[in-house]
This record gives sequence, structure tokens and C-alpha cells, in this order.
Amino acid sequence: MQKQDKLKDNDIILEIKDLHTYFYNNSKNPVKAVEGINLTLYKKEVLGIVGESGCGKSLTARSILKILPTGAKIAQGSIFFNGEDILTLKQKRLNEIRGKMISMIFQEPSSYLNPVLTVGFQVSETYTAHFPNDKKNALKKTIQIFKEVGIPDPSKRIKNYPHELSGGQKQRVMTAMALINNPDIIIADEPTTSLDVTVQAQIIKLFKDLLKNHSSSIIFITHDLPLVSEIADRIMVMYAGMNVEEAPTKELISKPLHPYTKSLLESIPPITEKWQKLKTIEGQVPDPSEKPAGCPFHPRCIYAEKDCSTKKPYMIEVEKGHYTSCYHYDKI
Amino acid sequence: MNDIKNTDCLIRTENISKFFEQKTGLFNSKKEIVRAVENINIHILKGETVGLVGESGCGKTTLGRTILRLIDPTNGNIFFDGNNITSISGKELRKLRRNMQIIFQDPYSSLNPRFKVKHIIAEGLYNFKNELKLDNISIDKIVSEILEKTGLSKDASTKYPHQFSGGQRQRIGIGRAIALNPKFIVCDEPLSALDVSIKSQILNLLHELKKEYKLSYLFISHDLKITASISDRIYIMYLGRIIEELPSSQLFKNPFHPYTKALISAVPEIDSDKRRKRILLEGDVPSPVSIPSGCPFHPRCLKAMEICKSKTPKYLKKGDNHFVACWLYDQNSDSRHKTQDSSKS
Amino acid sequence: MKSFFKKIDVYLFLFILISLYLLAVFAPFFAPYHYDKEQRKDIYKNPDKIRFFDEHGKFKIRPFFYLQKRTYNEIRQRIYVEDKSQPIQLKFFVKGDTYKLLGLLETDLHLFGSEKATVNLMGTDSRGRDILSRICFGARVSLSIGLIGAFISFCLGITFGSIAGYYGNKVDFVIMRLCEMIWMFPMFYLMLSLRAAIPPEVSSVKMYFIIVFIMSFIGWAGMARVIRGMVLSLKQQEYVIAAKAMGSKDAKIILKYILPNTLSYAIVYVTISIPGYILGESTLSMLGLGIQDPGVSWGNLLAEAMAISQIKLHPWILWPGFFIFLTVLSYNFLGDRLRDTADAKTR
Repeated sequence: MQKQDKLKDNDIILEIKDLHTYFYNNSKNPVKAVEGINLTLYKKEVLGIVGESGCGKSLTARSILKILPTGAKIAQGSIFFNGEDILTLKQKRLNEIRGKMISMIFQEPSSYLNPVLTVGFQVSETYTAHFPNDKKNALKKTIQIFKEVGIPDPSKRIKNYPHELSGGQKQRVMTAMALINNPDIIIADEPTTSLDVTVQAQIIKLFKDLLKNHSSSIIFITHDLPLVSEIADRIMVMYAGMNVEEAPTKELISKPLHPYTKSLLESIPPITEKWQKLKTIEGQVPDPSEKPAGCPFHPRCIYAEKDCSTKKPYMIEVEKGHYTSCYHYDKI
Repeated sequence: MNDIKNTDCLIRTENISKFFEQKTGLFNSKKEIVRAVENINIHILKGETVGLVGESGCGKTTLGRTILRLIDPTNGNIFFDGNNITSISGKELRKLRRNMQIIFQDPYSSLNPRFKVKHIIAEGLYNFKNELKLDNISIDKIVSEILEKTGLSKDASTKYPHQFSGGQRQRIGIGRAIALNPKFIVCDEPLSALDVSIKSQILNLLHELKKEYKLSYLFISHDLKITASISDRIYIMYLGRIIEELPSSQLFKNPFHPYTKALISAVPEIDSDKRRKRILLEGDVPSPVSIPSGCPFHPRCLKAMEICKSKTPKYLKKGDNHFVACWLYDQNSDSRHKTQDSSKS
Repeated sequence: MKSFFKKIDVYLFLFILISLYLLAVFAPFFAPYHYDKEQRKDIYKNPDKIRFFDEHGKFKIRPFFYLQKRTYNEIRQRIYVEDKSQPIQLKFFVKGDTYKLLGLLETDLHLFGSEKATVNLMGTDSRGRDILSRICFGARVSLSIGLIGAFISFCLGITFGSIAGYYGNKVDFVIMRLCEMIWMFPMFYLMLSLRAAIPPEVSSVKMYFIIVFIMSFIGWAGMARVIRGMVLSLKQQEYVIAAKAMGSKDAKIILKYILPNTLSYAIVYVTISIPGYILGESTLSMLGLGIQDPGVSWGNLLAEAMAISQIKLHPWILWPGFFIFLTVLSYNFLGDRLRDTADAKTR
């Protein structure tokens, strides 16, 4: 997985620059859920986005496809996909990109699958939506992709309705749907959170296998740092709508340069014989509508200094490919 | 389990089962029996934290609530402090409630949105006002004491639950549980709905309170690492049955049951050097309506043998506080020689 | 509640409803005449047109109308013609019939009227009674019946619904089958047969309560079903289980944990069901099975408008229908908005 040194600028497939996505619900002041995200995704790469609930990780992903929840709007920024700015594209071109070049896997497969249509139809429809003249092949392709994602007896399963499948199977169907058009980017938004541990392991294995046979890049969004460390090449850590650290997986884990990442790593319970008091991050995750000034993490940070509460941080490249938004990273 | 004296046990269950009836079909014609919990024998010593681990739908929540008599068991007996509490009701049951409490998974649905925090914490105290000889002033005092112990600020008492974040709400839920000074608390996945950075705070709090109030916990969770870190002893549950019992120090070192091994191997590990070889189970947990015959785990087990399909394995002692229900470890079984090992690995 | 009041149209409908209820409460003040006062000679008199300009186009600050003269046309139908030579000023706060305001204060003050002639802004009916006055008095029955009926259904429904939902099993079975039995019959048929079981000649007051009883008897079933469903899901909520674990008694759990959480939805349901009661009363009364002469209700007033030939000749007898329409519309609208607000809250 050490492709880091090979990464060149012409390998970039997706580039997000200074993305701001706000919620304009009822008050005059928008809730700044995503505030200045920069992200680069290379070809054939797995990028993990890690953060707690409400940190804006899902919203960032949804901004890429412009499928935002009601009230949310992209206020600023640009998203370049193969050189095209998605935010300025016409609806027709956007529909071409959605599902064909960039596809998405969601957390709750049961709520994203239509309960009154067979899973086979739903998957093949994703194909025929982009290749309307190829209806003959759609069924064949569906069966093939079902086989690939490890659904046993695919020719029978395509006739099943979502409720007849288990949670793990449904997530495989979602994966098949995302994969059928061989997209350039797959965005997986917490694909294993609603699954059991043993099924989660199956899905992770599936992702790893798929990486071998497909040329897609994957954005893997999760709150589970250990989980994403198994699959991602690079990890981006988000906190309160901003990215705080970005580095190749190994480096991020062995040498975190942001206090938040460090405390996240430390709060994983170690395997010990006896009870050990766990290291914690004091305080609460800030409400997106009442973010602290300066560095959003400073009220909970043990390294915080005076300037942290006033100066807004920005990403600094400390080592090649390793960015942090902490001014005092040398103290960590 | 004969080596455990009854007097040391705070909670002991004797073959408890809970079956639910489920009517399906257009005319409610089909009756299905959900065997959520079947023939379970567990015990919890005084001052002990016992972990209960299993995947969703394995019946761990049902078991926890059955022990608390929030659900009535179909069969079997429950003992609390040596007394059989299986069929008590009315006043006696109410009296028992003072000693047994529960902490829930979802900090959002477990607090009444219309009550102030003070009222939520004091609910139990109001119920037992006469028995405990409390007046409003002493209740207020206890509430502010609990707020302090659970790490909430004093002005929290006049606020409503929706004014708090998930972690703080879980603290309120914990405060409610300890308000009556119980002996035993069922923690039903108290951390799984919380953010990563909050989990360790709450886990530390639970452990502190345990020491201070001399509590016993039944800690229900699907997270092996968290359970192992807080528990003394762990039960592994699969499809309504206990398949292994072991001291928590042994969990990652020396598990016996193939299911336990698979569970442990599935835990994501951040340190790539420590990563275990994945044992990938096939398929999902079967529905508790149609539990496979014999050992319920055999359709997914990589080491399943012929006998596993027909006969239920016995629960055998394999070490200090270490029990397992698996034919692989049943040396006395003469039938073992007759079957060929169909292990796939 | 903030988002509820933000919408300006809500104010409009709230204003309409409040005005209508004020109209009902102070009916004798707003109505120029007593509802039963007959102007024997002015049968089906056209509504008097209020004017500000006289025939020369000169503006007058005081509104006036022309006296209507009764004549007959060539086919000997009675018609009314405005006598332009006789303008009559409309006066405000005039003295008229005496009445007791709110049943206490004896007064003879009316909002408007004229000493010189009778004012019938909405015309008169077949017996020469002022339709506007009758609408004012009729509002009392029609508007209160909705509130009282819905309230009784609400109480019955919430009691039976919560008991059925909370205790389940046999209790639930019995109550729910009872509800279904009530629902099984077509509502109108049930209303008629219940009405038939009661002696035809009763006083207006008695009749009023009979109608309320009939409609609440039918209405509670729907309410109970809704509440039962909510209780079924609420009792699975962890905070209810927590209350149980805390040793709270059943009655306390139902009253303090479950019912308050159904309340917002129940109130919405009641608001939406009020028009049903108003329409129910109107239907019964229009068919002559409800409030009967000399009692007045909007439905009873509409009974005059049953024949199409009458409506063609005297369209103003449809005015009570407009008031029913306005009330039902306002209630439906408010109910919808309340539901949106309640939904948003639970989400």
C-alpha cells in the first residue's frame, strides 16, 4: 500500500478546494457544517475520512455529488473531478457523472433500497440509466456483479426483494449498485456502521478484494479509526467541519501531529489484564451552530495556548504528504 | 458452577428462557416462536462486572431485561441475593426495583423529553419517598450530589434533556440509575451510541461509580475491547445461548469457541503488527425464529463436524472460570471419533 | 411553536375563527334582530345593498341603503325594487330589542340598525326572518357543537386508547373490536339510526346534547385507535421502561410518561376532527333530524336551501353554507399547520 511516493499531480482524480457547505434552516446565521475543506484524491487510492458525528464528513461527501439534505447549500469552494468543476456543471452532465463516474454507498442500506422493487431490478436500473441502449446486457451484468460482491446464488437473488435479504446482503447489493458502472470514485459513507462485527469484517474483506480488480478510487468515511486504518492508504481527520490532519495511514497512526488525532488514538481501550483508566478527551463535541473561535478543538485540547482561541488554523505541510492544522504540532 | 457459593452470588439464573410469539401471514395464521433466550445459566458475584457479548439479535438485551424482571421469563428461575424473584409481584417487586437498575443504549430515547433533569434523576426517589423517609429537601440534596458525581454542572437540574449532548445525556441516564443506591445495574450497550471521544469518558465514569457505590454490573456490549477492559468475567452469547464463559484477561489470549475466535479476529486493530489473521465467517446470524439444530453456530462454523448438526454441545469446564459449549472440546464424547473433521481451514 | 406562528396565513385563519366565535358569543349584539322575529310582509327580501355614493355619484360619509318596495312582476312573483327616493342611513350602536348580554347584562344596544326601516344585509327567509341575525345565533350551536363533541371524543378516546395500548392483550382486543364495530357502519347511517332511537319531539337544548352524544359516540373510536397506536410505540421507549425499572406505578407511567407525549398529536387530531362534528350537525339539522325550528343552527338554516328552485330565486339563503365553509376551511388549515409543527418537533 505504499504508493505514496508515486503520487503525482496528474494522478489526481478529485480535488476539493476550500469547500464550505452551510445549513440555512431557519435562523439568519447559517450553521457552518463544513468550513473550508481541502481534499485531494488520487487514482486507485483509498482515502479514509475520520471524524465524530456532526463533524461534517458525510456532508463533505454529499457535496461531491450535490445530493445535499434539505436546507444545506454549498456556499463557497470548488470541486474538480477530472478537471471539471462539479459545482458549475449543468444538471444533465451532473446526472451523467452521478452513478456512472462517481457512486455512493450509504450507511443504512435498508433505507436506500426501494422496498417494492426487486434488488436485481434496482441494480440493473443503475446500469440502464447510463446505458439505455444496452438493456439486453443489463441482466447479465447484474448477475456478474452480484457474483463479484459475493452474493451466493446470484441468478436467484436478483428476484428477491430487499426485505428478504439480511443486513450484510443488502450492503452487498448496495456495493453492487455502486460498482456496476465501474465508476472512477466510490464514496462509502459509513458502509459498515449498521452491521455486526463479523459481517463488518466480511464487507471490509470485500472492499479489499474489489480494489484488486477495479480501478476505482474509494473515499471511505467512518468514525472508526482502527477500521479505516486497515483499508485506507491515506487518512484525513475532520473535526467540527474542518480538516485537522491528513497523512498516509502508517504515518498518521505512528506519528500523529494533531492533538485531536493523538487523543483519538489514545482513547482506544488497550488489551490489558487489569482495569486501566482510559485516557479521555474532556468536554463535548461542539455544536455546529456554536463553534469555538480560533481552533475549534482548543477548549478540549491539553496543549492549547493563548493564540489557539483567536487565530484560525490552516493546514501546514510538516512532512511530505503530512498536513496538520495545529500551530503547536512540535509539542506533541 | 458448583464451586460457587450461593451466598457470594448477587444474581443467579437457573435455565431461564424467554420465547416470544409472533403471528405472521395475512390472517395471522402462522405462529412463529422467537426463541430469544434459551436455557441460560449465569451468575454475577457481589462487586463483580460481568460482560455479555454478542451480535445484534442474539438476545443479550432480552436477557438483561429478563433478569431485571422488566420482561417475564417463559421458563426458569432468577435469584437475587439468594431469593427467588422469578414470580414475585406487586409490592415485593417494587421493593426489588430499588436494588436493580438499568442504563440504556440510546441517550436520546431513554430520557423523557418532557421532564427536567432533576425530575428524571429523582423519579425513583419520589417513588420510594415514604420507604426511604425522604422529603423534598433531602431529594434535592441527593440530586445535586449525583449531578456532581456524574460530572454534570449544578444548573443542569433545571434543564431539559434536549439541551444536552449525547455524552451528557448518558451521564443523566447513569445518574438516574444510581439515585436509588442499587446493588446491581444492567448496562445495556451504554457506549455504542456515543462518539468515539466520549466513550472513554463514560467508561471511566462507570468504573469510578462502581468502586464508590460497590456496584455489580452486567455490561452488555458488542464491542469486545471495551467489554474486556471493564469486565472481570465475560459471557459470549450466540442466538440466545451462552457458548463460552471466560475471565476477561483470557479473552484475547486464549479463547476456545470458534465463534469467540472469529469475533476477536474481526476486531479492527490499529497497529498493523498486532493484526490477527481474520477468520471470516460466512453469512449472517440466523433469525431466532429458526435456530439451527444441534449447535446453533454450526452452519457458520469453519470447524463444524457431523455431530454438531444434530446434538447440542454440553457446557464444559475447561479452566479457571472458563467454560465452553463446543464439541471440539468435549473429550469424553465417544461420538467424536465416528465423525470426520470437516474443517475447511 | 415558533415556526407555527411564523406563517402569516395562520394568523388570518386564526383571526377568522376567533371572529366567528366572538360572533357566536355576542350574537344578540351583532345581530340586528332576534333570530325568531318575523317580518311578515318582507318574505324573501333581497339583501340590502350598503352604499356610500348616491345616485348622483356624490360621496356620503355615512353608509346608507335604499328602502326596498315590494311589487309583483307580470307572472305575479313577488319582487323587491329599490326606491331611490328613500335613502335610509345605517346607524351604529342603535337601540333595538332588549336582551341579556352574556346572560347577565340587560341592554338593548345593537351593532347596527336603523330606526326607520328594517335592515336585512343578507336578506330574509321564507318567513321574513333576517338571515344575518339567524346566522349569528346559529353560530352558537354550530360552533360549540364541534368543540364540545371533539372534547368528549378526545376524553373518551384518550382514556380507552391508552388503556388498550398500555395493557394490551384482552383489554386491547375488547376495546379495539368495539371501535371496529362502530367504524364498520357507514357513519351517516349510524347517525340516522341513533337519532331514530330517540323520540322525535324534544326541546332544542335536549336535542343539542343528543347530537353531541351521537357524534362523540361515533368519533371516539378513531381517536382511541390513534392514541392506542402511539401508546404501543411509546411504551417500548426506553424512558418508559426506565420508569418501570424505577418502581413507578402503572397509573403514573400512563399519566406522566405516556400521555403527555401523545398530547401534541392528539390535539392536532382533535383540531382536524372538529369540522367533522360541525358538518355532522349541519347534515342532521338540514335533514330536519337535528336542531329544529324555532331553534337555529347553520345546518337548520340550510334546510331552506334544499330546493334548487328556491336557491335560483333567492341565492342569499345559501349564506349559512358560506359560514360553514369558512369554519371548516379554517379548522382544516389550522389542524394541518399544527400537525406540521408537531411533526417537525418529533423529528
